Amino acid sequence: MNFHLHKSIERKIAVRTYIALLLVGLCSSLVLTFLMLGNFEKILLPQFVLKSNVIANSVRSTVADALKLGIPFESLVGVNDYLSDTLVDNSEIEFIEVKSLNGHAYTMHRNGTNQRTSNGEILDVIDADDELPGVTIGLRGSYIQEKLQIMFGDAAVASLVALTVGFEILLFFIVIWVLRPMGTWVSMINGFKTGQTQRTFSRAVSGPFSELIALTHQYFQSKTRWATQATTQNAHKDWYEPRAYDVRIVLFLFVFSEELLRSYFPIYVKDIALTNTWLTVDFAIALPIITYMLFAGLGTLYGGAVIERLGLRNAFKWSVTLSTLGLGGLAFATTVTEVIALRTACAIGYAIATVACQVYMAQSSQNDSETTNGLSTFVAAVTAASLCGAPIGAVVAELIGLHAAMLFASGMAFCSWLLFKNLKMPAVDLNAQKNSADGSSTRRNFAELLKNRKICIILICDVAAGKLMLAGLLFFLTPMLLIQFQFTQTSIGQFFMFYYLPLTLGNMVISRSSPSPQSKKHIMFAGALLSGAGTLLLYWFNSAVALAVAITCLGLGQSMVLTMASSLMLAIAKTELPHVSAANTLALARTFDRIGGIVGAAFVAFFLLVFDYRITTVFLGGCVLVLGLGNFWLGLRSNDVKKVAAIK
Amino acid sequence: MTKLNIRFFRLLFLVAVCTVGLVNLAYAVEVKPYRITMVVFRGCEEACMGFKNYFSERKLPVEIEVLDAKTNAQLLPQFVKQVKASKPDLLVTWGTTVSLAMLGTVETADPVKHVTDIPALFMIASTPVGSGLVKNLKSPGRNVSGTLYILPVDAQLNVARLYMPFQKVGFIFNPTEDNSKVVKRELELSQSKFNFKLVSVTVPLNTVGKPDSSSLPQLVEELAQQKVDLLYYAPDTFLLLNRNVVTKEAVRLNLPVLAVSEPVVLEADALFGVVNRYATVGQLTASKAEMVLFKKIEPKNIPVVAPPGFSLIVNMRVAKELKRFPPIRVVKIAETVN
Amino acid sequence: MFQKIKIIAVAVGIIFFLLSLLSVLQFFRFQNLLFDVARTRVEVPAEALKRDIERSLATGLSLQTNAQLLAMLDLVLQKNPNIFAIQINDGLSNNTEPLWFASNLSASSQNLDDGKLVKNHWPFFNDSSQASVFIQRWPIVDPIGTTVGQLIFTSDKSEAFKMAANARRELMALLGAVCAASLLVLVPILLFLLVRLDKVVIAARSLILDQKIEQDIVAQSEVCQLAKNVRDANNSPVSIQHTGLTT
Repeated sequence: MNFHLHKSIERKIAVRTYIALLLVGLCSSLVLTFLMLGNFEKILLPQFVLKSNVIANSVRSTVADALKLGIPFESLVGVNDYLSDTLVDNSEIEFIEVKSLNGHAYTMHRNGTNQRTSNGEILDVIDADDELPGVTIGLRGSYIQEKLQIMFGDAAVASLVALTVGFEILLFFIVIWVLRPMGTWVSMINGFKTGQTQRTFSRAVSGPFSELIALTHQYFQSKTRWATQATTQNAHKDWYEPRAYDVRIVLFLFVFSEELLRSYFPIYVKDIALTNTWLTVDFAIALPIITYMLFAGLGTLYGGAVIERLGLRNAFKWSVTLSTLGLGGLAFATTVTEVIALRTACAIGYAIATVACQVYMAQSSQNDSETTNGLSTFVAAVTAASLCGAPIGAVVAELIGLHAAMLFASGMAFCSWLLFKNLKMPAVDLNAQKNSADGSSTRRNFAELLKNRKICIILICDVAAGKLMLAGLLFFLTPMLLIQFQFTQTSIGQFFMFYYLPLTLGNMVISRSSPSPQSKKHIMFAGALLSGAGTLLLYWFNSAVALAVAITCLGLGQSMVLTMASSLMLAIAKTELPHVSAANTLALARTFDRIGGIVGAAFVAFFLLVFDYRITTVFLGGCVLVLGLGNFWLGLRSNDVKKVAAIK
Repeated sequence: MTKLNIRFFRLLFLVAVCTVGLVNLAYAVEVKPYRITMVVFRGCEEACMGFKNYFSERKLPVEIEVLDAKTNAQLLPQFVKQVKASKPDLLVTWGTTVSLAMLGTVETADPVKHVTDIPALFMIASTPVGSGLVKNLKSPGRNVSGTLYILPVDAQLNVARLYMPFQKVGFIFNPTEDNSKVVKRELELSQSKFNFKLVSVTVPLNTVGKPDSSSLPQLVEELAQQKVDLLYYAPDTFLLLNRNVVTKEAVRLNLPVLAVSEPVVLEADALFGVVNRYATVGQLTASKAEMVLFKKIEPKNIPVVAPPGFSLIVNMRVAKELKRFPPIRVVKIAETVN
Repeated sequence: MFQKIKIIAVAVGIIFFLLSLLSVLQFFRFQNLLFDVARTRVEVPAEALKRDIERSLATGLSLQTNAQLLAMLDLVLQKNPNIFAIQINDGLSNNTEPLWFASNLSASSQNLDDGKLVKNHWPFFNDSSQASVFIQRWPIVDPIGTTVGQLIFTSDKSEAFKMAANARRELMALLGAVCAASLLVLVPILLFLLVRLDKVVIAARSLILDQKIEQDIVAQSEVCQLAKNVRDANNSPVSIQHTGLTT
């Protein structure tokens, strides 16, 4: 029996609570931002005036140098050209006037005229004396507002980051207070109905529904004499069945700890490399990053096997240990070699931990819809952590220094273990484990997965293609194109939001849907095409708007691909390769993820040798689009099915 | 003590002795300075000093012997013999005359008359390709390289435009010097790019076939009558020797002179010069000498280049006389003299 | 009641955290902008000085021997009181002692090259006064393109720090006001919603205990439906799926 009351009181309360929090959060952020920027403007203005004073003095001394050479003021040559140059170098200045004591003046306005028109400028004046001319500089009043507008854009990004972190924390409490208790309650009721009474609570239930659960427990005890049965051997089995959302905060914290480094790690390595290295500085910065990617790829590939061997809990424990030690050790590293070794440990820890979380989410699902939900939870948590990590990492590094920031990251990683260790592990697919233990090695499993045409198509045309686009377009080409369009460095972070926002929103919608396997293929197909199609706009419109559209399409497309691809792969592996575990399937998917990222960067680097940024972007999108068309063959029957049909 | 132990200690002693010996040898080898012989035409001037300062500032172990021809070209064959006898690690020559006398051309270098077996660098040679010192600037063609000291004509005219606009550029052509021919050709090619007309007057030759220096004031007047905006002063030896006469006449006729070599603006009356300072040329030559001696790169693998920067020198006395003051942009970047 | 306080505290805490995080992020961006503006003030005289030094190199005067450089440094210091010290380091040797040094500071603060300053690994724990200067560097390039020296400017950062501290104070006050306002708005709303939830829980409890209850609440409430299942569980073997309040 399903209780799907769309307009239930609880839903209304939940929706209203979300809306209230969101509205209050957004409105207060807006109000705070406006008031903050107003204050900042008041503080910045005198600084710009001081700077214009320095420029005025510089102009004055340059003119004075010419006068000292014996050139009369009235005979000075090329003053207007010089003043033009100064205006070009200092965009906050609207006009400059150089005037001698007898009133002769040279004036240059930003609009190219020699007229000094008053338009609300802020003036900085140095008076003339017997020896030196006077200089008046008109500072553009709107300049500071323009600077602050950029900060407003940053505030939007900062708000999004803050909202995301807040949302994750909120979800954590919702899980503790609502979802777990409700899940326990439902499990208890079902248990009683189906006669599974030999269970208990492994930990106290909290939240507004705890009273109901305790009451139900008492009620059933009184009806069925559970008290005596609870003392039997299986009594330690918990009522609560693990769900994907249990591990969301764990995954978020763990990935967040890694993402914290992204903003300041190159600076950190550069500091070490400058004092102590046998390599060039650039290579010394690149080497830990390359090593990290390599070992993360290898770790991902064999992550599944490690999980099968050690079990989920131990695998996560050891991966957190590696990451914690790696991140903590970085705080005390003094050579590039040490950094490389520690980052290798971090990479292996990260690879195994993320596969472990993904496996947890997959194994804790009871049906296809829950699998989709779980995988989209994975995507959501990783996306949220990626979004928040870099900006917060930069601030943490500013606040407490680079070394302490590394320790902070290490602490975050350790906190993820504290939240994970008491979780109940999902039931393992014993058949798959048995078959796996019976002799199918990891390599054989991978080989079989790769031989499966459908899985191969998904890996290449969806998983790898998506990451190819992400690495190539978002991380490589977007900063270059933005600089070409004369945007500032800070805009790059803002443009990344065009990817993360649609990805998050699309993922939220997907998680609420329960598409059939056929619909999943269609969604994935559409997503794969959309990921590449947006860039074609750049062929006709070489502008920042077209780039924003391309990135948005990528975000939307990936929201449709990421969850569906993993879900489909698991479903296909389950039906066509039952002896291959979910762990190995997901590990292979994540490996292709990494391969896609590396190929994407290499692809762009190669094409940039021949083409410019715009054409390379269009090419990249075209290639991903063509790869996306490969999904068409997913609709055909698999080889295995054909063979069986032929034999029959 | 067993036999094995004795053998071991003997071996250890031998290794220690060899190591000490090698270290001493290396040390001895290391401290021995390289020997450079520099042949100059008119004393150790700025280029020579720039060359020497480069090594002293960096405390590089070299010994520099300067052979001064004191403007007497007759001494140069003697210097050839001296250099062949002393066999320095590197030979450096100053100016086209000295370079050709010491090294010969690519085609006509004679092991008897010229130094051919010692790596060599030249400096202050105006047109090393035109004069035959090297085959081309990128690949010298023999174990000789050097530095250019004249900027490309385009670069000179670009900078000259900063100072003043010009539609007509005057040029005194010396038919006896390759420098002059090469520069005239380059100026002719630059006319359309810089939108100016080249007005050229040729120095007549005297009875012995040498250019007639007495005709120079008249040539300047001819250019002034043709209302040229600027007189381009070519870097050929004849004009260099007559720089005072020509530039004084130009000032008298209110004609600004653009110099492309230092002495014309520093020691004569050119209005401004777009030049490479001789000291800078000396330093660049020294950096190539460092490449030859310490990094063991052969001169034939070192391209002939000019210093990357240049100096814009303005003669303020002339500027005041001509009432052609430098624009502020030029004042910011130029050196001023007088 | 304690439950309600806990839930409201968490919700309000999240909003406060959000606003604090936003303030911190924005404050650091503002601080960077402020420091950039302060630094660019120094760039104007620094680049002019660099140009003059490179021009002197072109005349053949080396950095090591050109005594005029000290006068040039002093002149810049006179015109720019926010600059504490200027030094020229030798780029050709390993000597860390400056070739030329002029300063407005006391003699005990000679040689402010960063290599001699304690590298502030732990600014949160250490006294920040060591970092109250901007240290900016420009390479001095000779006409043949070799970097022969480094021009180092040490300028006042304390003024910028003071301004940042003022901004921080004002920001804290603003943050407090906005947090208080959010609290005043949010608490009544959440209380109202939680009271409604309480009614549902009470109704569910009544159902389990077989007490009298309003039927319209039961019909509209998922929790009450589940509570009804508890009562009916004895009779029906069919299991239920919980589909409410997913993430």
